[in-house]
Amino acid sequence: MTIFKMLKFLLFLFFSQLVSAAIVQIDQKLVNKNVERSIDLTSHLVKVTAAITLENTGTSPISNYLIVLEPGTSGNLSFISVKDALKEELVVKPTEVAGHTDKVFYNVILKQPLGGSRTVVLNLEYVLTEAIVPYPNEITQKEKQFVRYFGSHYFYTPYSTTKQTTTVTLNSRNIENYTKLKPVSQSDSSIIYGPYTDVAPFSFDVLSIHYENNAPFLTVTHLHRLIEISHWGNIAVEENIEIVHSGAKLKGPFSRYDYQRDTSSNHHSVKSYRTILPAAAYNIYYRDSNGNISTSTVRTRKDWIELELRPRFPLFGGWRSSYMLGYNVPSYQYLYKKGGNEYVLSMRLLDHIYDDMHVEELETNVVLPVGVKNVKLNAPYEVERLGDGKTFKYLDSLGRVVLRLKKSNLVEQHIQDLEISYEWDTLTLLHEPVLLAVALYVLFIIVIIYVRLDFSINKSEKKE
Amino acid sequence: MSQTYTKKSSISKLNSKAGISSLLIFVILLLAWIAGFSSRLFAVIRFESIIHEFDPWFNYRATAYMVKHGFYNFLNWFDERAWYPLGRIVGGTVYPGLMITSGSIHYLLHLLHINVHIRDICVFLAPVFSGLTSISTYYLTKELWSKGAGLFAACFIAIVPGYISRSVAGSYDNEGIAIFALQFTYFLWIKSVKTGSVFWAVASALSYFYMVSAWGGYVFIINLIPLHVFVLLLMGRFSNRLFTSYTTFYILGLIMSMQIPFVGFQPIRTSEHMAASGVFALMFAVATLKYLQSMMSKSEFKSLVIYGGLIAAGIVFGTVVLLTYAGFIAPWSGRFYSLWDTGYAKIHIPIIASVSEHQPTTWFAFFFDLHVLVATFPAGLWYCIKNINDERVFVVLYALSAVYFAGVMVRLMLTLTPVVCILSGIAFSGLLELFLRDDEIAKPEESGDEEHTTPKNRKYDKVGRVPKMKHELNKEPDGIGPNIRTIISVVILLLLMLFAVHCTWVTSNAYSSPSIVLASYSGDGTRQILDDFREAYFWLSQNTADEARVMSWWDYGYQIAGMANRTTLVDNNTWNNSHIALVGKAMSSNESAAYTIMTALDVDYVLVIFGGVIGYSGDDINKFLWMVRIAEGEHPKDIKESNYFTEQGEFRIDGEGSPTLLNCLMYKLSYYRFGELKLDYRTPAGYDRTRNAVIGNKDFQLTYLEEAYTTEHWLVRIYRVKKPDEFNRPRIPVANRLVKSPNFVSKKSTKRKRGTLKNKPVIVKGKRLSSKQS
Amino acid sequence: MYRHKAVLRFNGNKFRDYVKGTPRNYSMIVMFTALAPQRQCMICRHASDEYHIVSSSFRHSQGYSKKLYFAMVDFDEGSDVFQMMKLSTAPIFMHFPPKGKPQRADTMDISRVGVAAEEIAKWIADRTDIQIHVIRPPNYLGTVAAIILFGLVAGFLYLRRNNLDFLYNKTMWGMTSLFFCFTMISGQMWNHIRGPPFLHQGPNGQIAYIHGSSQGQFVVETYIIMILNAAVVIGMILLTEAARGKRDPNKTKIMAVTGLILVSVFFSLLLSIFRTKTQGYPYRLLFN
Repeated sequence: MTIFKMLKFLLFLFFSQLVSAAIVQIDQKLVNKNVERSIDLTSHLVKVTAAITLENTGTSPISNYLIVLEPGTSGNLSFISVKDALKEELVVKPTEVAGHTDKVFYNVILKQPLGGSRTVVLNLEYVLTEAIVPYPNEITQKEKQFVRYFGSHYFYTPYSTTKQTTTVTLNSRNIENYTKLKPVSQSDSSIIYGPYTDVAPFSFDVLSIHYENNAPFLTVTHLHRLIEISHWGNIAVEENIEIVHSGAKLKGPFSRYDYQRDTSSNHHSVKSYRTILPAAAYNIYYRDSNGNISTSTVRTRKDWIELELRPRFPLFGGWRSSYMLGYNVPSYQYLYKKGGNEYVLSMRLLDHIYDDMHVEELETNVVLPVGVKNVKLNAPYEVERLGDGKTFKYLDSLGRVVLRLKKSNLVEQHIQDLEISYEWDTLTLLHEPVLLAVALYVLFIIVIIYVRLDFSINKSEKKE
Repeated sequence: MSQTYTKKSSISKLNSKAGISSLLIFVILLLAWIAGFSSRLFAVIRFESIIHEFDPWFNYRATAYMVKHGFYNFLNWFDERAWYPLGRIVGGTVYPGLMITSGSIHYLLHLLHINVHIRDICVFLAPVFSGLTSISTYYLTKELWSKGAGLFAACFIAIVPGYISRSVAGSYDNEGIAIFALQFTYFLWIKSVKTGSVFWAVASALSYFYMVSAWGGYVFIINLIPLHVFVLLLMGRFSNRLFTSYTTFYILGLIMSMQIPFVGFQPIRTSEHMAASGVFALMFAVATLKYLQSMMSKSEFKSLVIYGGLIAAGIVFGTVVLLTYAGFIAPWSGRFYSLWDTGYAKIHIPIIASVSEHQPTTWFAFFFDLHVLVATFPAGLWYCIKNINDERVFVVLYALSAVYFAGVMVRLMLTLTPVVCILSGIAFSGLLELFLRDDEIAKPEESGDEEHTTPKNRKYDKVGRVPKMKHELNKEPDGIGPNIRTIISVVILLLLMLFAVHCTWVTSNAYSSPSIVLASYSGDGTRQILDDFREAYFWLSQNTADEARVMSWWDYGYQIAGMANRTTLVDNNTWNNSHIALVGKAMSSNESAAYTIMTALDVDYVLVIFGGVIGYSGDDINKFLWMVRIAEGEHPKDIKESNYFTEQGEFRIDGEGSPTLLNCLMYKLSYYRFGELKLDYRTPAGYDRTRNAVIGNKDFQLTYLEEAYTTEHWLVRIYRVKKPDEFNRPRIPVANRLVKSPNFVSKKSTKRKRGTLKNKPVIVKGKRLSSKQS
Repeated sequence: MYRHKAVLRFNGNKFRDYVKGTPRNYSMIVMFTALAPQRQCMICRHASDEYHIVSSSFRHSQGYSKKLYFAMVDFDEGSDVFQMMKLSTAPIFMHFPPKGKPQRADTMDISRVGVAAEEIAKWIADRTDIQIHVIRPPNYLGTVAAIILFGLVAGFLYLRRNNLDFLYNKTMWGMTSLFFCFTMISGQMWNHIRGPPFLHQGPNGQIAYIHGSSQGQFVVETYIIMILNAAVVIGMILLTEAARGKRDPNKTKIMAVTGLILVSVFFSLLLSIFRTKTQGYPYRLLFN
């Protein structure tokens, strides 16, 4: 039994070594037969999806497919995933390629090795943050916000590509200019590049688009999420959010008069946004250092609760705001008993703040109940685990373990469940009430003794 | 046998009776506490748990600082964010009692791991202390009159608006805890006068110490207690008990009060405290005389009294005058002086006169704050005088002095309220005790022996236990029929009920607005919250540089510091009149003159409150004349109040208004671009709803400032002061220039009529322009 | 000119000689007034006193110079001057600068700043740049009154020195204290500081005894309140005494009923006056 376990562990070690450290070769037998790429530039995120049809022109089966990031975007990559034709997630690992150490590669392990002259379709999706830059980066209140995007006309890949097209979707018709590598066509608010045929590996040609984009350029610079488990039946969630308008900075005065007259919805300032909370959330509060944000409202929808968060002031480029959002959810929806004394908490590591959100830094703290043992963590993606902390809540005498997790550069796709399992004894629930009862009991005893007994040094004259 | 048995049974009976009555007292006091606490929660329930108004924001900020940095750092705190560029030594200029109280509560709770935010402790401190106040009022009244009166007084003070006005949840101010300290000190003082025990005197000195640490109103105690002693001496009621308690109290109180940094040496150096030391000396003189009297013959004693008294009085008076003259004893400070010479502040200290709570009190305010109590407390006073004894002298003096002070200043209604509650409690309990007792009448009282002994001993003392009704009890047919009795009881209860609903109404309508959050009710009763203050302060805190300096009128200083955490020039601690006058001058000068002041003071932002859009009357334009007046006091050359009036002497903001007003900074900042705004279809553009007029100066631009932020309802407007290189300076005529530019001589000759560019760049297509051209 | 007098009295001719003739080398402050008793100008008298204080302060100050003279024109002595200056009211303070005609600001705005000597000095400083430190002749009246009162009390005590029992008369002390309380709670101090009108007479002749707003009050209103308060207190005392009554039953009953009526009726009156001054106050007793 134990030997088997050990073996498994060793195997696992070996395997992981293989994946992460092994130098993967670029197999030139592999050819991108067709790439249909679409770049979504409607928000402040660059959302790239590509349907890649692979063909193995060789004979030996190939099990790896390499993805390479366009030069200069490695720091901006927030999320990457590859699905096969059946929409099933494939394993994607960062890797290094000999001779191309300056580039960032991701290695996709195919479900089944691709046999000779077989084709397979992969759906690549990745999100870049901070890749759309406002230009000019300072505008006045009345001006429109223009941004620039730099990319590549060709799908950047270590393999040669037979045929590819790229569709760029923008959110306005107002395009200042864009690079025109023929064939290219513009219709309404989208530009179609291609088809380009027979593109060599690592082909790169700068694509730049300068267009109007009044989408809310909001960035959460820091998000501190605190999850507190109570076995009395609820889980408290509190998020401390620091948010900034990362679009073009406001130049010159802010005029309330002009702002009130300008009723068009398409403005680069952000008036409000929606946060979606779990349907079971109750006791919702949203406040900042000055108290309740009275401009915001909570609406209950059918399957969720919608918080329309209107910051105290409209956010213009460069303006910041920060607030605290908290709510409770009943624990039965998120906390399961796994048998015996073992419990499993399954909660989102990151939750929705606004559509197309971008979180620069996330710290999630999970406060476990008093006296937990054997804590195990299962994160949906790689997170940094900081050293455990300890905190004291109401009348605690022992303290509670705090798990501290950290990750930077997150987007909507990162809203996934975190699983924490621990062992916990139900009897510790009674610890605090008993303590309180004893304290009160002692107090009453003291009062009774004090009242019954006469402590005065000399008898007072009244009582003769 | 039987005798012991009866004695035992009577004791057990007494015990059980005492048990029930103490249970009853406990329950009533608890209910009073709960009622007092909950009636102070209107603001929290309607709005939220938030600090109100102005001064509480400073107290809150200071408390938060203390909790964060510790007590000693708090005492040494130099606040560089206030009174820029002077700063403020906070530790030495506050009464720290409030901060220490909530800080220790915070510390205790956190010791038990009850993680309450310090803000919530601050918000709920005053309501909690109101319960303690009512308990100490109970004890004080019990000492003065009876338990029943005490319960009445405790219930009155729990809900009386005059006290609620200063102690609603969120009103985190010194007065909230000071009234408790005041009542408790008085209780301990009365106790010590009655017992003559050092223990109670020390306790009262300790309580006095707490009061000194909490509120400047401690001066009231340190003058009232000596006055009490003095009057007792005049009445020939000197006793060793009085001697013990006063000397102990005075010395300990004096030494301890000097431990508060803000008070320092004032107790021995200012006139406000001199009465206490004078009485202290007098006490010794009287004690000496009493002692000598027992040793000397009558004629010797007489001459000694006359000569000794005259000489002593002369010496004391001379010393005080001399010390005052030499500057060792400071004369009365302005605030206290204005209590006596009622017209003083109006003429000499505009900054005191400008505060609305320093105004005299109308009868309306008395009735509003005290309702039925104001009409009944004189009856209690009457009975106290009629049945005078040592401690009732005190309450009479307390009532008379407090009613005078309350008449002079609205704010001091607060010190009147407790004594009014005590005296009304006495009046009502006296009345109801007599009218609600028919069922008890049959019962024989076992206090017969006491009744026989009292009339002999009692001169003016020892009426404390209401013996007056004792022997009337047996007169069964008492003249008033049971019907009238019932009617009278019902009417009295009706009055009390009316009082209770009045208190609730007043609290709910007048005293429960946080004043930083405004609410307006539309026709269908829905409430709209106007949260402009917090909007603006939060904007400042998030979107300005951390060290940015904000200029505003002093009313908003504490709020800016507390909510926006930015440096202010002046604030509600109005210690430096000339600095305030400078800000007032900047506000009342024209833009360029103001710019010089503002650059001299390194101002980055200017904040003004403007109520013209929503009709908010407490805005800066309405306060503007005070700014002008205060500025004029310090800069009479530059600012003249008369310039801000029309020829008819009116203060108008419309086209008729004086040009100085229409061009001053405050006007421009308030009305910048307001002239374009049309509020609704019926009114023309630029119609000011607060002053009901169309503004006079509509179309103007700002040269030296730019609008940085204006809140949703235009209530707060923030302007950024431009840096010198950011604007086009207005042209200065050559004659006025300090640095005269050399006369420009055109070098154009007839030959070269075509203008040319020097170093004309040569542009080559497709090449970038290099900076150096040959 | 006259050196010995601080304020010069002008008639028409002198006024023309010394004031209207420009340019001069001195400034002139002229008070136009009507002091004759039949004119019944109370404020003129007061203003004149203050004016004399200013002028004599100037006369005896170190900064005394010939650049400034004080003068006055009484209506009954120089009505032609009033006509010439087109004046129809009094008192009026005007400044005549050495050169040029008086401007608007050369007439002191007494309706706004009042006629206190300090204000006059401030206005003069404003117009002529001559600072006058106002020295009021010490007001001996108050001191004298206090001394007399003190003397009277002392004398009285001395006369009655053999029988000082009246000092122990609690009723007297009680009455005094109660009166003091009534004075204060009815807002006499406000009257003293603010000086409101006795009562308000509307344009149509209707008389208002009660000020409409909660911010103000009339003198007569405070008297009414005082009486109401006193009546309630007397009622309370009567009730208590009745219940304690040792007297014959009839008297007790009458006392009780009187007390009850006093308390309920007068308190209701008080409440209804309060209601008229408070908007939306919902509670009342007996009366509306």
